[in-house]
Amino acid sequence: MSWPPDSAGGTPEPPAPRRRPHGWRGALGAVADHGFLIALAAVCLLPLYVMLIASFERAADFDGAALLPTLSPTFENYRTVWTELGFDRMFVNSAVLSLSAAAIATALAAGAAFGFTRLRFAGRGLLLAGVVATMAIPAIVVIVPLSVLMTDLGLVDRLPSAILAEAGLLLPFAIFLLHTYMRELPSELFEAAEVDGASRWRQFREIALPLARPALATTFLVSAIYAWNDLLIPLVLWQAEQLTTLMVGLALLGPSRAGTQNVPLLMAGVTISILPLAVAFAVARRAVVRGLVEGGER
Amino acid sequence: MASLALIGARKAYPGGAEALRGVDLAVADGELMVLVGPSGCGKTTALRAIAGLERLTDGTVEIDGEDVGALEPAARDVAMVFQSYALYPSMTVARNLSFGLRARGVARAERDRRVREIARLLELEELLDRRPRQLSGGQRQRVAMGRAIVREPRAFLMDEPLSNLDARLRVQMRGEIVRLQARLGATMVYVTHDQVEALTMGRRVAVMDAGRIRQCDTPAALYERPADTFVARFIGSPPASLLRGRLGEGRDGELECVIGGVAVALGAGAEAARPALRAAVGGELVVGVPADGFALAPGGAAGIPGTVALAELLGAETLVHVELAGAGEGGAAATVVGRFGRGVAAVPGDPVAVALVPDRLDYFDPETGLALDRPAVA
Repeated sequence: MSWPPDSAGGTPEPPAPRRRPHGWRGALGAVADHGFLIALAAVCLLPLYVMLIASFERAADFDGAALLPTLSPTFENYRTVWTELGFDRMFVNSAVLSLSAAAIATALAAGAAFGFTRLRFAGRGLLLAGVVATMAIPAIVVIVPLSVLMTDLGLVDRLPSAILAEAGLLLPFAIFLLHTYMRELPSELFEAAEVDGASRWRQFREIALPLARPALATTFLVSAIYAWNDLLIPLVLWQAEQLTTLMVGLALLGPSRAGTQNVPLLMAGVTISILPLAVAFAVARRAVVRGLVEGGER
Repeated sequence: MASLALIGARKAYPGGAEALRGVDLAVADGELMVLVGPSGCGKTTALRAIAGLERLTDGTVEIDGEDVGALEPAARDVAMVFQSYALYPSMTVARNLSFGLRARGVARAERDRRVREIARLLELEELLDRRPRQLSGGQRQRVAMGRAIVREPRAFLMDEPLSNLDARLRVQMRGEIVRLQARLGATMVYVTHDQVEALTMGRRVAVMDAGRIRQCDTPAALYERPADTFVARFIGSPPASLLRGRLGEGRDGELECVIGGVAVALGAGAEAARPALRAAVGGELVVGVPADGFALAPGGAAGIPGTVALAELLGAETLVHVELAGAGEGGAAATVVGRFGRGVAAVPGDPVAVALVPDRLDYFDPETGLALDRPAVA
């Protein structure tokens, strides 16, 4: 870094956090930086690109090594998976599972996180540590007892089973995330509300929730993505065909089913499955950022 | 409005830190009481204890003579203005103002009427639809005041409400709060670390240090008859300077104090005002010299010889720091700070003579720091 950056430039400026040296060294640095970032992006996007171009090829034309789009693209693969293989229904099932589980987990976690931040009770720290510790337990460990429990309750192959199980598994993470955020809200706001005569419920609803909007959006989004992508829970608890989710459907599209693998068909299915995530992320990320900016002024 | 009292209030935290070590404070109905002291002295804790945000370890909080120690903050019906204002960021000014009324179930029509009235009183009418982040510091401060007033509580508790404002606005708001308090006839406890704010606002001021009230008195009495060396060093701008002296009797039997090797006659008035001085003859004492407690003469004139260390011109007046050899503890040098007109002849390094004004001096026990005579009723 050279400072001052431009002695002939007239009025001095405060040092910018990342000011590049002027001249050819600066230009070279910029090229190197951008080159690196472009290469990184290419590495990340390459699989998606291959997936996309493969999904528009005919199974007969597919040779598995194409890096250029086909000259005769077809929507046939999409039509097949969507209508013939039942991805339309699976899409709805996945949406129901991920949105409901994320909503339940976020709502319960908001209350729990508020309690952990604002209520004083014996064993609070221990309880919070216990909740956070359960994040380390993988779903695969609890799937058998969960399955037995749901069978005993008669819930297997019914809507609540996978939704509740998924929400339960998401809950520790959601509580952790929201607690981290709510803990930073100024306690004076709640003390002012207490002196003003507001009940805990009113403090939660009118002060904590509006301020936690960015964190709520983040929690909901991350939870929904997790539930959308989950294979295990719906595979075990939603075994009925009309409850198959996209991830289960994709797994069943694999080579084991027909002996030979129809890669373009599989790629069309994968594209359908990640499309809503990409859209949701693009939309919600903006909301999260806007929320963060608004929430920043306290 | 109501009277407030802290009786033998103690607050200890787990780990042993004590914020309050036996505080007795009585605030009359309609009185503006200021709690002042350095940071960490317990003034905010005392205020929070009255509000119910802190539970006392020992002692009682009374509102209108009733022990409210077991009551939740909401049930105490006091309003508090926080240093940070604590405005609810997601609500408009109007909703901020009406929050306490909604929480207490006041009917909508009545709520609207009171909010409009307060908005008019505090000139917030144009701002009712704005959110806190769209307001300036002074406007936020007014909204915080309005939120407290609109509830018509039994008492107001103010925790350094002006400390986030710039100096000019602070002076202006200081006057507004005093006028508002008088107009509402409100009982108010006002916490500040700024002794100028304390002296200009309070009818009575309680000076706190290390969890105790050192002195609770009128501003004039605090300045003129400080109860101990802490109050003497805290109140006044600049505060009093402390010198060491030895009390003796002159040839005519009148009291004199030897400071920096020079005998200063205290005059007949000193003994009449403080009979305890006679008993201290022969012993050391601490002499408090307020900023208007001495005159400056050129070096060699009658007085305690010293050297000008610093002269600070503050516009209409000049603060002169004079170093006096042998006038401090154990014969060390000590500095007295005096306030003079802008024309005072004082150049750093110049020898001068400090002529103490006996009537303006205070005398303290060097062991306990307490004034030799606690002031008569002010």
